[in-house]
Amino acid sequence: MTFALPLALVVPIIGGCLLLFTFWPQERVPRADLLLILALGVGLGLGLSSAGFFIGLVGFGPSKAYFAAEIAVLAVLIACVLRRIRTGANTVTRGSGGRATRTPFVSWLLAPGFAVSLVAAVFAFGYRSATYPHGGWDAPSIWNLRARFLFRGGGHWKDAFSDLLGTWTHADYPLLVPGAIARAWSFIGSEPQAAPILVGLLLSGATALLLLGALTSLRSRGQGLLAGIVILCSHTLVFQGANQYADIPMAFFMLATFVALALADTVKEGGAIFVTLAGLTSGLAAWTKNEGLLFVLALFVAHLLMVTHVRGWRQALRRQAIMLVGLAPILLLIIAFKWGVAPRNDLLASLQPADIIDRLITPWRLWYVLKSFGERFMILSGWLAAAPLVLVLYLLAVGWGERGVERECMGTMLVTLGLVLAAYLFVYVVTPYDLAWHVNTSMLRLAFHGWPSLLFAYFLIVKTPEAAVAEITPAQPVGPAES
Amino acid sequence: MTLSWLNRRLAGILAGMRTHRPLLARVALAATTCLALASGAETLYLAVEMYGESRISSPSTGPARASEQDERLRPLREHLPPRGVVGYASDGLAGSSFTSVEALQDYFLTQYALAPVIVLRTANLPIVVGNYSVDSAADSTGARTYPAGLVVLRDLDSGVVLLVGAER
Repeated sequence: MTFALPLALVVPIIGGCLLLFTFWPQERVPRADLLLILALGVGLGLGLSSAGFFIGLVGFGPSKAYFAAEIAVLAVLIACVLRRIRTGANTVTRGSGGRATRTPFVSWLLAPGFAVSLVAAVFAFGYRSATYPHGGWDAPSIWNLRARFLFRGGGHWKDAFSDLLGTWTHADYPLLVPGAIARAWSFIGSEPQAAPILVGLLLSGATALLLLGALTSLRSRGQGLLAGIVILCSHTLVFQGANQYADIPMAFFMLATFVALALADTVKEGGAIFVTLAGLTSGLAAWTKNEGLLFVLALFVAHLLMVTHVRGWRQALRRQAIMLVGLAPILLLIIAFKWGVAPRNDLLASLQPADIIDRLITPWRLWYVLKSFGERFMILSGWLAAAPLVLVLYLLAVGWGERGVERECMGTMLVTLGLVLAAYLFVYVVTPYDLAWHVNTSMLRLAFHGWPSLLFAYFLIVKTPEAAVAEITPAQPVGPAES
Repeated sequence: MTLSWLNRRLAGILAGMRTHRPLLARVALAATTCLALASGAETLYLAVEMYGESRISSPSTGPARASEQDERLRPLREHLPPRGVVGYASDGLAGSSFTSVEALQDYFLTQYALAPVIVLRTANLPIVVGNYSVDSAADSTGARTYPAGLVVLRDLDSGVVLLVGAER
């Protein structure tokens, strides 16, 4: 068991990394984007293997044959990567890149800060997990409960979605997290509690690593390290990750989608790969939580609006189609799950049009929801309840980057996050549950969904530390794609 | 008029933000990093403190009880069918309502511990699992009362019992 559990989780992560490495555009050197590929690989590997495990359960029942198929896919991916290395596809250099190499002292100063924040976050995660080895409330009542049904149920795994289970188990919730845990347990043949803890740790770490890697690749090492410090010091990331909930994975896939769209703007050819990746990661967000479906809808609307505005409707439709290619497999899986396996959503089932209108025209409800959201937004990071304010002051002090940000990507990010936020607030206002209870038990977690993405947008805009503290202007990264 | 004034002011602010101020930037960078690290330290302190408290006293409520309940109820799994539906009885269950939040949490944790068997909050089933308070006086005197028509098939100590219909 000692090595089996890490192996069970490492196999899909390696698969995710190899998949990315295989398709990573030549214009961006994979070796230069290693952190980015590793972070994306963690989420992609765990997400796709969770989806594959569920398909295996539906198709063949609880059979070890699924793992043979997984190993076969891994072997094919290794062969693809070796072929790519042999053909020398990775020898193309990116040119000047986006690094400000003349003032490395900022990185030297920020690197220990990042190391300290990383160690503190890992220890805090460890202590939290030791206190609550089964996670926060929703873990034993929703996510880990479902994983136990899938693993222990054998051929009767569909009992996990029985109508006899109370609505408190939320049996309609998607299966990325329970699937990843049940897959790991099935791989080793036992159910150590370390599996959900490690899944939480990996996806929390991958969220921070993705922010670090993306900003290092797109802006500068100092910018990546600073963003990494900020996200690692967010107590919500650490505690919710250790709670073994699906909210951190949800935040990860939202961030991964925006990172992929930002990367698409940095290459002249091969941008379609990143747009497809954005579709895939948005689909995995929807495979993580029901809120992910809202995210997908908001993303496609925002992307259509922004690309139409910048490049015209023909290009917009073309990009939507490319993104749909990535989304389609996961979306089909979700439709099949919702149609054939999951019971009806309890929230939607108890909403009546007359009640919705009644709640919408009750002003105090909206005021209460807005006030509660504002309070939770301010304490997302801890920071003596002031992270957003500190970041605004930091922007005022250092200014924003000399080069403009990609209008299309930035617009898509902000409009998507705005639409998702509006949808969340709407759901709270019309909730059939006791409003205070609903807000108190979930709003902090939901407020965090967009936080890593918001930090990503923020650090794309703000001037890099290298440029801010010294009399230099960072070199320009590869320009936006024309196609 | 107002709009153009606003536009000029905004342009002025934006131009000001582009002005290079290395000293101010260094102070801002140091302050932001220090504040973030202070928050990281606060997070670690909270986690260590919570862990310390959980070691001193056994939690009476909250998710930390999951481990305790999981341990208590694990032996019961051997006596249950591999799947199916069983009932639930507890001193915190009156009819179909729970008398306290803790009693409701115990029910959730019982379902968690006994999955994939489905636990319904009713005693009107052939097999019923009983999850009673560990420290109740009834535990020591054996005077605990069970729902009508049920008898104890297995008493697994610590308030955990397997009940079946008397006619069985």
